Amino acid sequence: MSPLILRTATRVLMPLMVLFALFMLVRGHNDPGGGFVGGLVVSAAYALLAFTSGVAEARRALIVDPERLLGVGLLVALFTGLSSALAGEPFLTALWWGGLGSPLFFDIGVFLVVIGVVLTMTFTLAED
Amino acid sequence: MLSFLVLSPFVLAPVAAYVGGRWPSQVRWLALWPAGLALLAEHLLRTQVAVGGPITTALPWAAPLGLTLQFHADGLALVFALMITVIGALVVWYASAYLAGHRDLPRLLTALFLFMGAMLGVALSDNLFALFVFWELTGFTSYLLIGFEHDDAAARRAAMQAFVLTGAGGLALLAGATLLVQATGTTALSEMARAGDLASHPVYVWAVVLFFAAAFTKSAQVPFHFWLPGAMAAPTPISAYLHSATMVKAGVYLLARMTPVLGGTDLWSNTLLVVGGTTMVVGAWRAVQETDLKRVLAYTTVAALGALVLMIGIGTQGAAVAAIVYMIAHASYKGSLFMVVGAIDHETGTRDVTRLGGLRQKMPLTALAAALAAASMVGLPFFFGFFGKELFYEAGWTSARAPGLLLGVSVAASALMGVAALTAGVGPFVGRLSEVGERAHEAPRAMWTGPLSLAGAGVIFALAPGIINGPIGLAAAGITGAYQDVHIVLWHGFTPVLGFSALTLLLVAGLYSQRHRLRQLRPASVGSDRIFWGPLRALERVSEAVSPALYRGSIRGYVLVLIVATGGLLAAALLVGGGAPVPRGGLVPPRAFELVMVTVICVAALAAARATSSMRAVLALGTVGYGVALLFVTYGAPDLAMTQFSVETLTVVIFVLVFRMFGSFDHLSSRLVRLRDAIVAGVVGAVISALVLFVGTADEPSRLADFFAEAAPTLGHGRNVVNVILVDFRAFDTMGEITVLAVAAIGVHALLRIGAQERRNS
Repeated sequence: MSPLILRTATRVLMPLMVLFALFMLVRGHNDPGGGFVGGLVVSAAYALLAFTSGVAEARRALIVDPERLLGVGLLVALFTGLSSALAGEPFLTALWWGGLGSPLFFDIGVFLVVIGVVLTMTFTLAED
Repeated sequence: MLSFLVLSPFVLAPVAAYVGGRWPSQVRWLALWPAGLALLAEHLLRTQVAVGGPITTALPWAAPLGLTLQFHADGLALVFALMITVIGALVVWYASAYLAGHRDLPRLLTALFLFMGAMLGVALSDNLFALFVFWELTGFTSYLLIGFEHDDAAARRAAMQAFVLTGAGGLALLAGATLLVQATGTTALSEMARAGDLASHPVYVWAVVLFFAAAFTKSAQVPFHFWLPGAMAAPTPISAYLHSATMVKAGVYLLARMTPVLGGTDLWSNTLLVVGGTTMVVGAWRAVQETDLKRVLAYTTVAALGALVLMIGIGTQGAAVAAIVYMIAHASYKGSLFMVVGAIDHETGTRDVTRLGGLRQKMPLTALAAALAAASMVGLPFFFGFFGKELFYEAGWTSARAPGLLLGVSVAASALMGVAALTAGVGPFVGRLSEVGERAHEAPRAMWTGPLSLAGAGVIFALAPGIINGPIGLAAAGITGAYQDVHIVLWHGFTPVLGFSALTLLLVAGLYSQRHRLRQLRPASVGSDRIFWGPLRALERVSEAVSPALYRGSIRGYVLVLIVATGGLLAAALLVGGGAPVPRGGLVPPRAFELVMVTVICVAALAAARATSSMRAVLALGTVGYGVALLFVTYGAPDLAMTQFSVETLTVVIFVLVFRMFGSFDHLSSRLVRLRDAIVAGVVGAVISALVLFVGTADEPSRLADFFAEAAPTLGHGRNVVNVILVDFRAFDTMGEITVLAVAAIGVHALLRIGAQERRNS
C-alpha cells in the first residue's frame, strides 16, 4: 500500500498543482509558463494521484478520458487556426480582441493535448 | 459562394454522422444539402459564368508560399460540380434505404460527405497545390468507402490497392505540379494557360508524363485499370457514386483541365489516343465476359473512361463537346444502372446474371429505370446516350490522326458496351422468373426514385437538348480554351455517322444473342492484377530479408547505432568545417554554483552507469536531468528549466511504471562491452562539448533571435518570447508537433491494450 504521508499530502497538493498549472497556462504569454508546461504539471498531479490512490481513482478525478482530451485538444487548436480563416486571414494568424488573443485558445489546445498524451501513457502503463 | 460550395460538405460531414447515429430513419433528408449545392452551381453557371465569364474567389492560406485556397469556376468546373452534387444527392437518398439499419451508417455518411467536398475541391480548385490536396483527399476518402465493410478481407485488399495506386498517382501529380509552377511562375491553373508556349520548355515532357501518371491511375486506364473492378467490393451506392460518376472521372477531368496548358503536342495527343483506345477496347471486351453485374458495369466504366481519354486526345472542338456530352450521358445511365444492380442485389441476394431473370414482374419500377438507362447506354435514338455516341463517332471520323482506325475501334467497343448494357439492364428482368427472384419484391421507394430520375434525365435531355446546349458549350470551352456556340440535335440528316450508329445497334443485337459464347471466349488472364501485387510482394520479401539484420530487438544496440552515427557525422563536420572551438570573448571561469552542479551531475551520471537495478538507474538519470534544469535556471532560461523539470519528473514516473516489475538486472555487461560503451560515450560526449563551444564562435549571431525578441511584444502581444514563438509565430509547427504527440499516445495505448488483451486471452 502507498505510504500514508504521501497519500495525505497528495490530497492537498493535487488541487494546488492543478491551480498552479492553470495559472501558468494563463500567464504564459507574458511570463514564464504556457500550455505545454501547464499540461505537464497537471499530468504530474494526476500521476501522483494514480501512484497513491490507484489509477481508477485518478481516472475518476480526471472525469474525462485522457484519450478524449487528445482529440478535443487537437480540435481546439485546429479551430483556433480556422477561425482566422473565417476572418479572412491566413490559417493560424493570431486574432486579438483587446488583451485576449486567439493564441491563448491555441495554447489551451496544446495544454489539453499534453495532458491527454502523458496521462494516456501513464494510465495505460499503470493499469497493465 | 464558391468557397461555400466546396467547403460546406466538410462542415456537413460531422453533422451527417450525428444525424445518422441519432435519427437513422431521417438520413435521407441529408440529400437536400447536395441538392441545394447543385442548385447553387446551376445558378452560378446560368447567371454569372454564362454572362460574365469565369468567377474566382481566394482564401489566403500560406500566401508567401503560393498556397492560396483559390477557386475558379468556369463552365467545365461547374458542369463537373453539377454532376458531383446531383448524383451525390441521389446517392445519399439511395444509401439511406440501401444501408438502412446498418450499424456503421454514420461512418459511411461522414466519408461520403468528405468525399463530396474533396471532389468539389478537385473540380473548382485553381491553385495546383490545393488541387493536389483535394485529389489526395478523394483517394483517402475512397479508401474508407471501398473498405467500408472492413470485416471483409477482399474489401480491405481492394481498398488498399486503389489507395496505393491512386496515391502513387497523386504523388506524380504533386511532382508534375511543382514542375509546372516552376516553369510558369504561377500556381494558378487559370493563369498557366496564358503563360505562353510550354511545349518547348525543357520540363515539358516530364510534366506531361507525371500528369499522365496521375490521370491514368485515377481514371483506371490500361495498365492500371484493374483496381476499378476490384473496388466493386464497396457498397453499391458508393460504386454508383465513386466508380461511375465522380472519382474515376477526376483523371479525365484533370486531362481536360490541363489541355489548354499542356495539350496540342504529338506526345500529348498520341499518348492519349493510344492509351484511351486500348483501355476502351480492353474494358469493353472484359465487360462481356463477366457474370457479376457489378463487374460488368465496372468494366464498361473502364471502357467509357478510355473513350473519354480518347476524345480529349483528339482535342478538336467537336471532340471536346463530344467528351462533355458523353460524360454527362455516362453519369446518368451508369449511375442509374449501378443503383439498379444494387436494388437487385438487395432484393434477391445475388448479382450473378446467370441466376437472375424475370424480375420485371416483381420490380416493375426498377425494371423501368433499368430499361431507360440500358437504352441510353446502347445508344437508341431519343436517349441521351445516342447523342454521346454520335458525337463520339463524329469526333473520331473527323480526327486529324487515324480517323478510320479510331472509328473502327469506337464502333467495336460501343457494340460490346451495348451488349454489357443489355446484360445488366435487361437480362435480369426478362424471361422466366428465376428461383432467387421468388421472394423478391419492389425495392424501397428511395431505391427506385434515384435510378429512375437519373435515367429519366437522360430522356429529357434527349428530347429537349436545347436546355443543356449552353452549359455544354461553356464546359467545352474549358477544354479548347475558346468558346463556341453548341447546338446538339437529335437528327442531323443521313450522315456516315448515322450509318455507324445503326451498324452499332445491329452489332449489339447480334452479339447479345451470342453472349454465352462471348463469355467462353475468355482469353488467358491478362493478369494485370499481378503487376500490382507482384512488386509489392517482392518488396515484402526484401524487407523480410533485410529487417532481421537491422532489427535485432536490442534497445541497447539501436541506441549504440544512433549515438555512433550522430556523433560520427558531427565529428566529421567539425573536423572538415570547424576552426578552433574557442568562443568569442574567450572562456569565462566557472562560478562556484556551477561547479557544484556539474559535480552533482557527474556523480549522478556515474551512479547511473554503475547501478545494479533499473530503478536505481532511473533515479540517478532523473538527478542528472534535474541538475541540468538547475543550470538552465542560472542561465536565465526559466521556461526551458520548468519544462525540463516537468519532463524529467514525468519521465521518471513513466520509467518507474515500466520498470516496476523488474528487480536487479539479470546480468551485467562483460568488461569488454563496458569498455566499448565507455569509449563511445566519452568520445561522443567530447564531440558534443566541442560542438557547443564551436557554436559560440559564430561571427554573426543569428538575426532570428533579435527579430523574435523585438517582434514578440509588438506583433505577438506577449513578453514571453518562447511562448509567443510556440503559439503564434510558429504555431503551425506546434500544431504538427501536438499531432505527432497525440498519434504517439494513441500508438502506445493501442500497443499496450492489445498486449494486455492477448495475455488475458492466452
